[in-house]
Amino acid sequence: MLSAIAHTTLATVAMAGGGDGSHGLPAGEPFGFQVPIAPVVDEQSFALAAWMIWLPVISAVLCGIYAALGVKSRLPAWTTVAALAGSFVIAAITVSKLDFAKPVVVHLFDWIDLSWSSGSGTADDKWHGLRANFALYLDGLSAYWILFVTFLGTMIAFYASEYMEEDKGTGYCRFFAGVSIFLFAMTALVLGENLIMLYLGWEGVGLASYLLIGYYYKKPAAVAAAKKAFIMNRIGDLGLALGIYLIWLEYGSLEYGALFQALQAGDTGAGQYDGWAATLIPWCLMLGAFGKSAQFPLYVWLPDAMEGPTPVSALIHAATMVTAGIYLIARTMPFFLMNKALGGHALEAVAWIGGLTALLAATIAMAQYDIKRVMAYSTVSQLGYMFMGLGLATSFGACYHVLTHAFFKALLFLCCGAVMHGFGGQLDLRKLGGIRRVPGWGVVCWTMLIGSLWLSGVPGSAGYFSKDEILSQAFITEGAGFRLLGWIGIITAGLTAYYTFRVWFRVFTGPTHYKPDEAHGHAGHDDDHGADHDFHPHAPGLRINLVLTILSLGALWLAVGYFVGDVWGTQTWIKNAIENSSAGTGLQLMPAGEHPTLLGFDPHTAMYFISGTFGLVGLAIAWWLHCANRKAADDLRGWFNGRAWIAWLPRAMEHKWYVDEIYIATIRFPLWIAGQALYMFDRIFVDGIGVNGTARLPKIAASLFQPLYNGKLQGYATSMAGGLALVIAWIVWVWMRGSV
Amino acid sequence: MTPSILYIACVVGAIGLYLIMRPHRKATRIVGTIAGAGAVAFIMVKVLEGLAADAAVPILEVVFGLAAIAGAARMVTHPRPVFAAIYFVVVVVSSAGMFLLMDAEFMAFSLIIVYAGAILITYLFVLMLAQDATSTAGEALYDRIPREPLAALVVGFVLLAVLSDAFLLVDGGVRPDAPGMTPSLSSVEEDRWMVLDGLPIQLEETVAEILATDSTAAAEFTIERIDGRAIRFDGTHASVDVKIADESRNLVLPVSAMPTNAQLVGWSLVATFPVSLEVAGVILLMAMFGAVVLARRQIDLGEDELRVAAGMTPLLEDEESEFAGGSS
Amino acid sequence: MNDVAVSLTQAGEASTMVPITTGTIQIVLLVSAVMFAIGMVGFLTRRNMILMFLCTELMFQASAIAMIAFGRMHMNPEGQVFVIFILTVAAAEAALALGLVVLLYRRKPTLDAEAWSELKEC
Repeated sequence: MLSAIAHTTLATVAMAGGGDGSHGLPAGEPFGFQVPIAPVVDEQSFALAAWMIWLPVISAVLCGIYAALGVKSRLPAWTTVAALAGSFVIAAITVSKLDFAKPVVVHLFDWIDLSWSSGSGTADDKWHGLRANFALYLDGLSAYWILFVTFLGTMIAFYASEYMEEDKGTGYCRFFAGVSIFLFAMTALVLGENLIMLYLGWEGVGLASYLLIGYYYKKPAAVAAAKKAFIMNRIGDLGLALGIYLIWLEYGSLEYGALFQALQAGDTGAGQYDGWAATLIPWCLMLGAFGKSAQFPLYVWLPDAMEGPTPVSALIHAATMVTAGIYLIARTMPFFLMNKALGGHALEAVAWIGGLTALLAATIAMAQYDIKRVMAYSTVSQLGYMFMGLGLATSFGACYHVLTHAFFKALLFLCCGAVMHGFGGQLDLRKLGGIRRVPGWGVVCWTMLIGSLWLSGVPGSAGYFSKDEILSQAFITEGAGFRLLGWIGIITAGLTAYYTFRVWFRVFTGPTHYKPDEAHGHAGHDDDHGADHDFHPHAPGLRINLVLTILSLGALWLAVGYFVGDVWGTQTWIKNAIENSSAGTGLQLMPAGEHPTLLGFDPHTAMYFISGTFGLVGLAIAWWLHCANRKAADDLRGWFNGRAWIAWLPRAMEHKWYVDEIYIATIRFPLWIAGQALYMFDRIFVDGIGVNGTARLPKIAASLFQPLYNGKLQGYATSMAGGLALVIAWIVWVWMRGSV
Repeated sequence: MTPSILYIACVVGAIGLYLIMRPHRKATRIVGTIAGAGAVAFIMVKVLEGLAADAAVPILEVVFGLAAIAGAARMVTHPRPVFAAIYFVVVVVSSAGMFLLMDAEFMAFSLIIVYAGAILITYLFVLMLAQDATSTAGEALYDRIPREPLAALVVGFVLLAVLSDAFLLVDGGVRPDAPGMTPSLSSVEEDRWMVLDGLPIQLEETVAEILATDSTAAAEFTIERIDGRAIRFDGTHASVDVKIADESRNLVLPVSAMPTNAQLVGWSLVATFPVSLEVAGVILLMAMFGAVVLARRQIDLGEDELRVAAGMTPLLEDEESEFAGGSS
Repeated sequence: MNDVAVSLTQAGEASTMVPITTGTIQIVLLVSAVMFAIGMVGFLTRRNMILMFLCTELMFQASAIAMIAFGRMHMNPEGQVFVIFILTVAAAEAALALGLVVLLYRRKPTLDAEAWSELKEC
């Protein structure tokens, strides 16, 4: 019954449209996902694809063997780089053969196959079993994702082969084994043919993240950060696990092909169980995505995760793993669209939480001094943009931003890592300056400038195009306050430009000064540079420079490619890939000229000018305050601090809006109190009265008689005679006389 | 007499003994002696009050008993060990007197001989051997100061209270005149005569002695036995059937022919408790062995010598063992 | 069968045995109990090892008196037989105990029993 209603609703939306706008969807637009086609099982043409997932596994095993053998050379690095490069090449070959309109399933081996009824396959008999094969699902989304994951993995592993040089030996093997495990898990996550495989990869990347954040396990901060990341991710993973369970409960299958076909047919999953689960599923998945992708309120682990080695920050915590949440929502977009069709607000929640997280993280990033933390908050902020894009139903914008962000943020992190590596672990932008003029730092300087420009979204950069896709969509898609959200995003873009160039101008321009980090020697990372006065930075080597150059070229290419496609009016390859996968919402394919307007123009066009202006203004302010006239920055700070009504603002931003403290006060402290209370209960009642009290009774009884046993012969004789007297007394008084 | 009176007397006696134990306090010793003696005497008077009107008063038992108690009390309180041993002789002699009064003359004299003569002399020898060199006055400090007297007195006199309660009060105390408590005299006499039956030579001598007073009887006789038993007891008299020259005669045995106490004890010892007798002999033999072993000259062995004595190989070479201590 | 009464003294004379009177046995048992208690108190309070053994002899003595008294009451010799065994044990004990005392006195030149408390645990 419900199914029928939902089907009708869907059909209404999809075909007739409906000018009432009750679902907040643009009237008359084609709605729904673009993959009604059943996946083709093809193991012949895509037999090679299996090696995408096996090569990292082999690499991880080999690194473990190297560690056991005590290999002290660069062998683990080359093994990993070779394996990942192999994965990338295979991915490229596979994608080149793939027709995005025809998803392909490559079956590797039977994994989970449970069945408990005949399984006639009718609608009433969907729950006859649970099947999750170890198989790959190749469509536009996964192909797109696996390409940049393997490419960046290769690049960053190559970079790390130089960066981690000091730890050659067991630590080197451990690091590259972790990277290989991560790539395996990420591949399983992206390429998995069902939600169980996605979950396997999801937990696998969490494990790799934990292992690599805690790489410097002798450093308490790193251990704490690793635990924090793992625990925060638990909360999100609970949501994902519940979501997967509910999906199975509602649809009887976890395989993408079957699920998408059922959803395409308008199955709300409400046939057998209560329909609310169909609307609950997106919320559960959303929680999982927010945990993994560091969105409010589960974002606090990501800045702390910068305690790991910088290549890890670049690969896992900027480019790939944190985008798993985007991938999850993009992959399960049909559920969100179903939710929307049923009148739910899951997509709006995704958009709003993403937008607000972007603003929040950007404000925090403005006031941080640790350049890696600035980049970390910037990652949170950019991930917020992506979620905003997903929520605004522009999967293309979100996924394109994932790609551009992956390139320029990896680039920025690797530049920060190079600076940290060369300057004795120094990350405080107040203690670095004018590095541009230090010999050997040119490549780092100019590639980081490219990264910064791209992150700032100055006109013509890749970040500019991908961000505009999202921001302009805010003025197109109808939804709860989406236009306000668009303006928030635009302001955030200005802030982004400011804080990005704050870092760049502070570190690379101005008078040259630097000193190493005093505490850094304990991290087990460096170095023989000794005290400040004879400290000499060592410039990055060939491999680091090469990787930075390749990444900046990639970033440039992304911009050029889009620009060319946009100018020629053709759909880009990326748009084609995304819109033909399950992430497609159809909105991107709508013809121009039918949008609502922004300031009297088409939003796409208007946004080029608006966001470009904001980016340039932010850049200019940063230039003025941090390059041209640094005294003005001090004056401004003094102006803020001197006025009570505004002095809290920079302080709160510097202290990350006290979110960690609020968590401690609202969650950790009550839990701590409850734990202490239970602990005291255990100590006093269970242990104290129950266990020790019972044990103390014989002890008390014994202490009454203990003085008798003092080792003296006559003491024992006394107690013996006393006992004898009592026995006789009992005989006389009780037995013989009958009473005392 | 009620239990409370008995218990109060026990408490008074305990206090008296406690006072006697106090060292170097003559006045308290006198008070204690009076209290203790008074308590004992009071109880004894109470016991004697309960006697039947025509019963004889056991004056001698009371005298010997008081002497024994006094000796015992003095023995456990005297600060000089030799005097304590001498007071123990008083106890032994008084006990022997009580044994005599209870028709146990053999045990009375063996008590004197064994205890006063042998054991006590051994004690005195050991006291001389082990007299503390530091106590020139003959009174070691540890002999004068009692060890935890209160606990000991409580324990001892609780025991005394319940024992005397059992003897004197519970169900009227130990009463030979209660029904079934004492066997009838005739059965006792029969038992005694039967002992004579087990002593054939003595029986023959007795019969010969009787017949010797009768000139008419011939010197040759045989004692007739029926079912192996010669003596017939009719409840008051014992008689023996004797065949003299083919003529049977019934001889009534005189009371003086009844076996004596010592004979009874000996008969009981060998006829009723032969195994116990053997065990007692083994105990004495082992005690002798033990005493011999203990009294041997002790040799202090070094560690290595102990190893050798235990069958292990020595740890040190011969020349080293000189430095490793241990001299014989 | 001729019933001829011939005896050295007076044939058929009644036995001199009489049952012990209640008062007598109670007095004797009371003395025995008091001696036993005093002996025990002495054993527990004297510090001199020799005198401790002497006090055990006193307790033996007390129990011997009780044995004799009960034997007299039942008019059989078994009480006296047990006294013989008591004497045996007392003699054996005296021999061994005094030998031990001499041995201990050689180890530590004191007769104080508290000098020998190595077995106590604290």
